[in-house]
Amino acid sequence: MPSSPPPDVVLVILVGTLLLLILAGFITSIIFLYKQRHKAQQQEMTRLQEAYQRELLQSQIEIQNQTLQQIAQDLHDNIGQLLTVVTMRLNTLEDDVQEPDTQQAVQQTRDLVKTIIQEVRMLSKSLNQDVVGRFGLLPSLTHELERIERSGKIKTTLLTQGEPYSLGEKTEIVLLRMAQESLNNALKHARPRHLTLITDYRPDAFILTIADDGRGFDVEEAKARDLKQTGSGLYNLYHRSALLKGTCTITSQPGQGTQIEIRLPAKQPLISSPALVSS
Amino acid sequence: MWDTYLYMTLLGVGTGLYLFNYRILTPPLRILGSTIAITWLGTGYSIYIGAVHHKPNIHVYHILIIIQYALYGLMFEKLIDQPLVKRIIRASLVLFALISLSLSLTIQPWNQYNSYATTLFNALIAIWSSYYLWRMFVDIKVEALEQEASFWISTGLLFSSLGSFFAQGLMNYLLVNTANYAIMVYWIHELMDFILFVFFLLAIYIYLRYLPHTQRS
Repeated sequence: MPSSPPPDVVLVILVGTLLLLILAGFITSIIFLYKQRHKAQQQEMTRLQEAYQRELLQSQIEIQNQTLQQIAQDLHDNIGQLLTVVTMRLNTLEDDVQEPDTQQAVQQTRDLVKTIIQEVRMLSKSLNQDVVGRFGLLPSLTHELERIERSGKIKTTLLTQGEPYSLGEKTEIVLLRMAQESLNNALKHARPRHLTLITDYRPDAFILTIADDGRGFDVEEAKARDLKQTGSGLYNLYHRSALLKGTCTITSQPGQGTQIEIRLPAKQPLISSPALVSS
Repeated sequence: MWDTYLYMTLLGVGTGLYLFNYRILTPPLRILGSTIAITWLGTGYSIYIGAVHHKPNIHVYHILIIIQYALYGLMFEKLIDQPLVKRIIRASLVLFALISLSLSLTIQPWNQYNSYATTLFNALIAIWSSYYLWRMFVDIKVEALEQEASFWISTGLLFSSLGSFFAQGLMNYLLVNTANYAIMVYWIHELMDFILFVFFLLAIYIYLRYLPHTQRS
């Protein structure tokens, strides 16, 4: 008949097992809790970094807008006023001169100055952020396209899909600046005959598409260039889209035009930023 | 006897591994390697004079515990960042040596088991290791705890010192009141030592496993 182990041995084994279990439990729980804390800390750091980037963007936008506002005001108040005075002088001069040839030259000059006044006013409006605040994104975009079309060389189209809603003044200013940057890039580099702007107001997202039928370019090659070789235009578009919690997709091929799609969530995080609200 | 062989084998393997990789170890791990080596040599010497020469060997542990605390203390002093705690640890090294020697010269002479010094040793080690673990947990400086050698070292030290602290207290009580359960406490004590040195082996494995390749050569 086999003898049963002495009670001491059983007790030692039981206590030893219990201690090992406590040790395993301690290690498991401390590692598990640490992982949770680490994850929470990482999330907090990401959130802070994003908030910082948004603050930075906001400051950049503020500075840019103040500068543009100043230029717009100067254009309207100083140059505009001076040109008006020039027109008045030309009117007087037209009355004073008797020779038909000179009179015709004065009329032509006056018409030219009037065109310049209109151009300056349009440029002033385009630079002025209050226009976005007062009239909204769509009228501002329309104004931009009208300004381009006045050159007579480029046809423009603005298409709107969905029921327009406000994305908030700050976001709309950023969007307008991004659209202006894209349009200027197209005018400067692509030599297009037709520019198309599409605003797509979806329930969950807003999509702004800027398309041209110009020369196009190799997107990957442009992205690979360093800052000395290329401007900051593309970088700004990607960066600003990301900070607005959106995306920017640029599709282009040499000879096949360019399409820039800026997709933003309908609910904008930038609007809820305390710094923006306070500013 | 088998437990002594197992214990000495664990210590020997630990000494070999730490010394073999000594050049690429961090300062705290180098100190730990030295502690394991000294423990191995001290225990080996004590077994030698006890088993071969049949002479009392308890005095070896009176000296060994002072060296062990000095080295563990230095290791925690290197691991912990807070200047005040560093200063306290440095002060405790001297204090512990003085208290331990005083005890050996007075109430627990060299031929008696140094339970008071051992209890104090365990209490202090439990404090430093739990403090270090707490700082690790609060500061969230490392990516993953389980990939840090110092986490395993501190956990091993905390668990074994706490276990030994209570076992020590229980042992004294049982020796006075009933010796029947003293053997159980002895085995728990042995188990704590095994766990500690297994954790030290695990720590060097973890260290070498997650050491960047650039630091290996």
